[in-house]
Amino acid sequence: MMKKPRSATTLAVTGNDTRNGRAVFRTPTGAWSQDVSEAEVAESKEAGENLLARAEADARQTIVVDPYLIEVAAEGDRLVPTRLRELIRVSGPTIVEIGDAAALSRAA
Amino acid sequence: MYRYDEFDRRFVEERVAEFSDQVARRLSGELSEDQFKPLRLMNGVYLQLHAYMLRIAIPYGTLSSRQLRKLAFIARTYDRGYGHFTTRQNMQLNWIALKDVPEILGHLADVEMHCLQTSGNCIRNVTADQFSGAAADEIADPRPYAEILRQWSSIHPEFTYLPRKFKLAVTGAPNDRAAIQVHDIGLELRRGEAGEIGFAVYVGGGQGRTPMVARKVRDFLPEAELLAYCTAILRVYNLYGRRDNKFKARIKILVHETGIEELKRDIEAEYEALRAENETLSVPAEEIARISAYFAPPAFESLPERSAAFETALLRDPDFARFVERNLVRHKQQGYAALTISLKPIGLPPGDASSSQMEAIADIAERWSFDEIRVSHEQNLVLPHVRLDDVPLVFAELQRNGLAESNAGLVTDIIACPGLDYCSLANARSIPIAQRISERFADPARQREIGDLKLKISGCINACGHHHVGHIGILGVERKGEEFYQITLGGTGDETCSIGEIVGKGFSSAEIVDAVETVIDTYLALRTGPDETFLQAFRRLGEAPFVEALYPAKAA
Repeated sequence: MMKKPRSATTLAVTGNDTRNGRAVFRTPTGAWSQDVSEAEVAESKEAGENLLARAEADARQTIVVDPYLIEVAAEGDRLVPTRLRELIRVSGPTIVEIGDAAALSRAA
Repeated sequence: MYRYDEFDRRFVEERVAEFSDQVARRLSGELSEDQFKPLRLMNGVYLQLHAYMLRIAIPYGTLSSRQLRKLAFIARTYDRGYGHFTTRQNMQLNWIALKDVPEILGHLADVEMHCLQTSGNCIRNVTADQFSGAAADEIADPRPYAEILRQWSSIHPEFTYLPRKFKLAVTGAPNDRAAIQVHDIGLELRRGEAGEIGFAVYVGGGQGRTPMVARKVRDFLPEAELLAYCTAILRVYNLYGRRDNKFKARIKILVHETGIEELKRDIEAEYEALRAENETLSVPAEEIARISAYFAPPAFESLPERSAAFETALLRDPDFARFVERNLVRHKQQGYAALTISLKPIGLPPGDASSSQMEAIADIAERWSFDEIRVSHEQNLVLPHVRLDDVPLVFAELQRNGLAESNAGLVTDIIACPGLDYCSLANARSIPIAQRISERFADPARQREIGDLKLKISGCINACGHHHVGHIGILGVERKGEEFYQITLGGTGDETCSIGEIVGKGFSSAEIVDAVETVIDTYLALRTGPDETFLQAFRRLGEAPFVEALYPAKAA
């Protein structure tokens, strides 16, 4: 599932948390966070490949599933994925969910 | 309804225990994702954009109140309080944690449900007409045969690793509401010359990236031969179906590449060989009778054809009259009706129901519909057996729960796949487009002026939203990072099945609702009268006037 990084882009690595499937991002400490702004970024293809290699090692440790690189951009002090698909993974569905309020807030 | 026997119960419990062990081994690191993925898919667990998704099988779309309440409980306890009903009459939960799956499967097993064969290259959940056992035009109830097929195909050792997934649908009526001609095998119940039951058999239909209408291979297959003949089809497919290219692996490609006549010869030869060596595949009449007994008509009362309570409500309440006009289906039993509960409220996601709504529907079904609910492939629910006297009471309860949208079969009764809001395969969003279209056409009078119209939206070429058979189909694609939407026209999944044609280049997200409106306005301007439906008008006119309206510069 690896996306080949293009040149001159800022990269982060993402995957799904093995336990609950949530979209997560590898941070500089090696932990995985649901907040993309906490992600470790790579500014070159080589740095991206290195970051991905560490994520794949985490996948072998059952921490995440199918890690891959994504492009991100800085917006103020936040990081934002550049592709819509990844934005939706970060922000959640772009629609109003109809679930009962209690369940929605509990599962959020 | 079918009830598990001891074998079914033990089988499902063993599968729950087996998968619980596999989940534990995955979470402990003993199984890698590559090892675990085929196991989880066999149990209906996908990994989507935001979480694991659990696809729960609802065989031939039939549920009891107890089962629907359990689905509501699971959605509220383990998910976000809602479920999504799909075009295969299943229900999906979008926010499942892997660690919870064994517990959920245990809850499902308690009410004789499971998630088996809702994924993978096997025979999937068998679908059927949502009005089975109720429809006035029905020749016979298709559910006993769907159940026989379900039992035969569950972990069938020969057909568990097919070249690709395999879908069956059965209709009991000549008016096809189960879209059988876009299935790998489609079965239409018929009566023979002596009144005996049999099937017209269609093979090789499907949607996805290569949409094809199925070809008829048998005009009349006696009911006892159902499993033997399906086995012959599956064997030919298993032997000759392509395994070198996943995009060419469905039986429709085999039909296309081999030619239907040669394939028919192959199937018939396999069938004869199979019959010669093993007669036991014939379904014994007593077994058909045993299964059919589970689907015996409920204890209908002997009622007059007309109901004073019903007719008074029709005169007094315009909202009720609108509901009846669109959501009530004539029943085979005098004094009863089947009711469609639209899961397409204006501006909200198609096919979703909250846990509270599921519980309300379960209560209504228990009280007024012999404890039965159906799921339609058009992502609505159905109360199959309601006394005409009770329809006003049911309508009032549906209104109280936000479930009385009177739009069955109208432009706002849209099929939409989960799209890029949930699905890891999608290229574009489907649900927001459906919401915007339903808001544009929200006016009930305008919807009725337009009349019968099936609008279907898919967020990628896999066509889970059935866009190929939409009178108006919309396919979401990604182009240079932007969502675009192609329009197809003239498709239908009914007995006159046809695949819609792409009319031209795609429209941006900002443009697509206007484009749909242009298509509809063109139809309204050109139809011979209100009795000529969109599909009839399209078939008479062809695509030219619609293309001219959509792409005026090109036409000039």
